[in-house]
Amino acid sequence: MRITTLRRRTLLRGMLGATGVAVGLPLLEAMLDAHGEAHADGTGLPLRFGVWFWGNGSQPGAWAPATTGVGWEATGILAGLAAVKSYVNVVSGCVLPVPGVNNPHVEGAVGILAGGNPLLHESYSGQSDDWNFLTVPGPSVDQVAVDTLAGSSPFRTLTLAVTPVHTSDAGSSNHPGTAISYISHPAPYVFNPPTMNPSELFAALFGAGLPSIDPGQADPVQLARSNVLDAVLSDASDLRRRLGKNDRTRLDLHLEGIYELQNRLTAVVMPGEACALPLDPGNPTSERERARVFAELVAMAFACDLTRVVSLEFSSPASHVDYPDIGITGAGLGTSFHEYEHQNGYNDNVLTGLRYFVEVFGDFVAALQALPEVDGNLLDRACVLGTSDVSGGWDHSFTDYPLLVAGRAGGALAYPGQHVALPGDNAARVPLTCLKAVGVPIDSWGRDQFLVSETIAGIEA
Amino acid sequence: MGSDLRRGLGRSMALCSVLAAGCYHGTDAFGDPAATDGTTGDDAGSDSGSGGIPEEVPAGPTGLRLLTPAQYQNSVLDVLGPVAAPAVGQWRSSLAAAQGGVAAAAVEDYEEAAHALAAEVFTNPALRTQVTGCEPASAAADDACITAVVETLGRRAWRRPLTEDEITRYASVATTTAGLLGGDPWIGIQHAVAGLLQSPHFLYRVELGTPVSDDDPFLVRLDAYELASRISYLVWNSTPDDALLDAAAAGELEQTAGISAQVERLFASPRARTGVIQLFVDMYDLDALLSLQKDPALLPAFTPTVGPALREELFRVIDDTVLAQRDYRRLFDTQQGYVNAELAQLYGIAGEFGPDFTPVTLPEPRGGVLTLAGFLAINSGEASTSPTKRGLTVRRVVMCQSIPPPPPDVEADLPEPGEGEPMTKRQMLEEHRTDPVCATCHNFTDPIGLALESYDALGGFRATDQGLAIDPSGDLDGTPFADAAALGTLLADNSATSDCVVRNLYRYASGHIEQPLEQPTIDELTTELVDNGHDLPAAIAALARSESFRFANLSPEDAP
Repeated sequence: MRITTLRRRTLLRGMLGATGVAVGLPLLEAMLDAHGEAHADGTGLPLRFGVWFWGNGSQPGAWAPATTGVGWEATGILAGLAAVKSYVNVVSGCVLPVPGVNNPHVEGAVGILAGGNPLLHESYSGQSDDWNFLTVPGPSVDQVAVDTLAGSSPFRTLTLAVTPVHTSDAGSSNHPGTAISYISHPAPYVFNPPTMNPSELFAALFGAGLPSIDPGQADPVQLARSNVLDAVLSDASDLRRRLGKNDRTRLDLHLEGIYELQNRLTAVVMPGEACALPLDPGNPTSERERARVFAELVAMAFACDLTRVVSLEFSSPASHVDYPDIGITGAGLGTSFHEYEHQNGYNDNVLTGLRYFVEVFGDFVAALQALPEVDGNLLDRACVLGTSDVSGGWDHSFTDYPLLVAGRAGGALAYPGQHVALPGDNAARVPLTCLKAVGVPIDSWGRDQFLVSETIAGIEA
Repeated sequence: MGSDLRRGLGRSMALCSVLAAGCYHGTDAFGDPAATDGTTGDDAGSDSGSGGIPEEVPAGPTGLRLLTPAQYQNSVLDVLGPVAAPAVGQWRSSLAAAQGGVAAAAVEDYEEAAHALAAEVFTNPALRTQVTGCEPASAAADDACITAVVETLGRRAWRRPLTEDEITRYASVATTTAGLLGGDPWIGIQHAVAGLLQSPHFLYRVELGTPVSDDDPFLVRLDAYELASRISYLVWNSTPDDALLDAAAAGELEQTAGISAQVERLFASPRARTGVIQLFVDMYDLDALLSLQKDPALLPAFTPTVGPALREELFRVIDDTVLAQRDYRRLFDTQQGYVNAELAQLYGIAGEFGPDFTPVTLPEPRGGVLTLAGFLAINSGEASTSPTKRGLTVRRVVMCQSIPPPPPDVEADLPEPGEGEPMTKRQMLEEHRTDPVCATCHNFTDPIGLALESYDALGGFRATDQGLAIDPSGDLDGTPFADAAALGTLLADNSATSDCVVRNLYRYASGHIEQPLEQPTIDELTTELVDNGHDLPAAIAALARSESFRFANLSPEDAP
């Protein structure tokens, strides 16, 4: 167990004050000593993994580029990727093999992100709102990546949502099933509550200044908090012995959180060259702007090695929210983008929305591309899976699933980006490819009809 | 867009016809109760003494139960006294919290809250003296005050006495942290208490039980403290007080008479109001009113304060009917509402009203919980009503009857109003109710929901919709009613309503869905309820005495 054996290095906060102008962190000799080789060629620097998710799909048969291979054209629905397309691999034609018995949006989200069929809670007994009873059968793909990537980074994972999820007060649920609202799950019936306000994310990551290397004294307040957590961990290990399998799993996840917290109190990070204190972005009212400033904070968190895994939910599965930025504002009348899709097919309004989702994803990729690292940028050591809950929202189809893979993942993925068309192939191969690209030691991914063991060679380097 | 309107409807119709099976009208209990042998063991009201273990105990699983946000808040207040206790937790309902886990990101919420609460108490000299009644002489781990605080507050927080090791563990936290932070023993105590409040022994109700015999590791009896905790959360939705823990220590809970005495004592406290209301908060998801969102352009009466006010009204109506009148039926036909100035305006009640809630006679045509604006607002969209959704809630939540979902491909949304010819919701849904295939389910839900059409998405009365008169009449399984208030009186005397509240109570108390084995307990408690004039507290007391409450049958996955 990785518990209190961590080196008591400190993440010294407050050195530079809570706010202020961006100040580049001086590249200390100590850092070069510790990571000199890493800086020379990038090996040894952390890999990062991200999920960028939007609800209600795309336009099957039309979203993908006209040509395959390199040099695909970022036009139509993918026009928003023009500035980053050399770092984006596109996989079209795949089918997500959902069972078609529960809410299709949940089946799709759980299928593509957790590689299985939704689990139905015992309290479900033929209820009309089955989505309130559905959870994942196992950890979502981002949480699988965490186990390999997180190391001692202070935030094992960042969970963000840009537009409101179905639960009226995000972060808590009256129902046992949360797969309709949230996309990041460490286990069945456990969800990572998303941060929805960029200013709050800023405060959590940078509120007390930049992480810094300081071999000196630890902050006694933080050591005291850590000492308290030691006692809590002792309680938990006493209790754990008395538990059955199910409760042990639950308690272990809780303990993960305590370890993470303790790690954050006592560990130090090795910030990269682009690490600089950002400004508090506030909480922009525009959803696109919110997504963009989230992306910049995530990029900086990667650069400072505060985290290595992010899950960003631009809109939830089956989202019924408005997108005022593109003039879709009928949610109050029951005519959100979701209903537009159902009622109107692929008319101009719907296509505007579908293009818009990819544009906002493009903003995210661009934010990673903007920060240099060694001889390139953050995308060189990242893999970001951009996907949705259905292929087409109009008729809940699962053929020609929208699958975008950004980043080179340390050289594992093709560069410049390819477009690979694999009609009829299992869409679960894409998350498998992403996981293997960032070094997760697995031979297969998924369960039941989502079980796959073959990566997509066409997007690998 | 008129053609779009028709297309939308036509599409719904076409897909609706996919629904081939009939609509399930049964109760949503698991399995077939008749499949069990009907052995109920101990009569819910009798005294089994301490020894008798029936061969088959009608009990379900048990394990760790995470505190809900309300339980966290109530428990903190009962451990520390009057502090600014937040409601921390990811799972609002008792049923969800019995299964749900804590994600890493949520652990910090517990940590922050624990430190803030401890700091509030222990940096305030008057308050800390009041809470602890002692003054530490030093920060040493054997300081009498430090160990006394850990022992006393720990017992209340963890719902059992701490072991010697546990006392030493937290006394040492006090010593170590005081040493790190300047030596003040109070700072050490503050950190020790912050630890007690983050421990899994506090954040989870540990109800593991002990095998009743060596031969069978799966049948367990809750120990005295676990039982005290169950009783306390059942009646108060909070941690046991010292007297209840003392009763557990003295072995008084081994006798059902001892349980009854404690339940009666707990019901005599004002805290019972909080506890019993929580059952309804879970059932009806009343906390959704705390973050109610409506479109102010279409519903100008909406303000950020109206949702919480409607929740308070519901609390008072539940208190008046279920607790003061002790008759669950009155919840469905009461004429008494409670309003402040804002709600008086929403209900159209003339008179002088201020910020405080005043009992009022609900204006015609209202009567019963279904016509309270809070219930109506929760079961509506942000701007428009949904008769089907409201009808479903009544069938599911009030009557425990289940409806299968429409086939996955059905587009359930009605076409947007205000385009084409104006139509009432009754007219829009008419096709669902006349098409023989859709009708099986829609005839089950829609007459109820259409009766509630007299109230808009915020619960305000309206005589017309789209300029057309609303017809609230209908029938409940063949019995006609004139309007929503009359529907309420039918529900009040419907046997499904009585059975359903007991079923919900059982799930709320036990944290799981009843298995067929447990059905006899539900039946007995329903009889108890009905025979006692629908006195829900009497049924709660009977539940606390029942074997289902005191024993558990572990599955292999639950057994250590």
